[in-house]
Amino acid sequence: MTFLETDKRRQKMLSGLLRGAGAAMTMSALRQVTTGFGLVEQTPPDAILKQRAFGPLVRMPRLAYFLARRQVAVVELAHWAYGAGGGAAFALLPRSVLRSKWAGAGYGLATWIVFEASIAPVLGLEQASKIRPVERLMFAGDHLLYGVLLAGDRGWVLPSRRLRIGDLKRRRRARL
Amino acid sequence: MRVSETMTSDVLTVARDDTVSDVAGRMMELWVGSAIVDHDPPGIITERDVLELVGAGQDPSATRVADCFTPDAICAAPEWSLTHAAETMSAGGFRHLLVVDKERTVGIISIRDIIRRWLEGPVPRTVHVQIREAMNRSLCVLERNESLGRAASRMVEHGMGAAVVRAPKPKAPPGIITDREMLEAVGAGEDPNRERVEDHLSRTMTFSAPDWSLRQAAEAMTKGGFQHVVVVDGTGTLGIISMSDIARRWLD
Repeated sequence: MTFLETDKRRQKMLSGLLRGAGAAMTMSALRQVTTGFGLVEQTPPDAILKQRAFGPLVRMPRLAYFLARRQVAVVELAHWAYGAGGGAAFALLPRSVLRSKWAGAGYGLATWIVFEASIAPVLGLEQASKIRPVERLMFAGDHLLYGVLLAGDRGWVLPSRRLRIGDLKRRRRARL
Repeated sequence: MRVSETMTSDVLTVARDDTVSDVAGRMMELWVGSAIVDHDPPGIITERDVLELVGAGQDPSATRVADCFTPDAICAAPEWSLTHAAETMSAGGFRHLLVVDKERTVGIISIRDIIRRWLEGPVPRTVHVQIREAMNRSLCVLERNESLGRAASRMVEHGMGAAVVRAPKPKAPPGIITDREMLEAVGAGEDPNRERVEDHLSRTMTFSAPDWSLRQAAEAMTKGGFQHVVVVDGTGTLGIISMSDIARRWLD
């Protein structure tokens, strides 16, 4: 891998981090609405803190004290961080996947499926055993929104056509 | 699940003539909260008895077990279910039961043993219950410079085995002192009227928010080896939740 390619990769990942965090913030706003209307009882990051984080905190009373007092902010920041991580991972997907216009929506739904099928059962969260269909639908919907916002027009993650040498050669041949 | 499958068979037995401070030292060495008193019928002495003794201003190194143990302790049979044992403890307001089989004491079962066993089982109903629904909101709050004797007296007045100790600074976490720390101080031969609360704060404790799950609290207590969790939110300390509170809610 050349220096230029590594640099581009880094740039894409950084863009992914930022876009992912932004998409997660919008997703959080949607969740405020769905939770406010009672369609969602507990969001996944909230469930992780309230149902599973206590164990590791047993030997860290100061951290437990901080989390217990500032949990709303901590949960929100954690969600944005997951979103940012997801954005960086999206930037690393193969080009063939990213070219599809469904890449964003598919990626959003995939992150939801990964949570439902592996993270929730492994952590023993309520979401794994007791979840209403409407709640499931809302989670699918907000992850879909995340994916769509993250991907945008995918211009930020796909290589610019102007820089592709093959294209330039083809254009030159066409002019001749 | 039966009591016989959960009880502790290897128990500490003490004589009626032993001093309370000596017995407290042996209980701390074995990290147990109760001991069988050699008596007919057998009795029990617990960390709560030691707390009450200190709260009453008596000298533990000059007091004999015979003067503070429970001679007519309620006993469980080995074939009792854990639910029955927990209900008996909850109704009587205590945390230990002697287990007697054919007039012979075969072990002790504590509320901690029962909760640990419940947690190993299938996910119980309480998985969805929040700590706020079971916690005790009537707090006993102590100053850091109060004596252990005074602290014990106030804890007994409140009917609690633990008290919150004010933080040294406004934003720092508060401390907690429990009957276990009293037992430790008495076992080490320290004078409860000279010792300060701030020097005997619980080293093993944690905090929780009121909307965290009750199951989490139970897991934290069994994992951390403590009996109380201080419940806080952005406004300050809201209450304390103990193993007995969890068991009571579990039984509802």
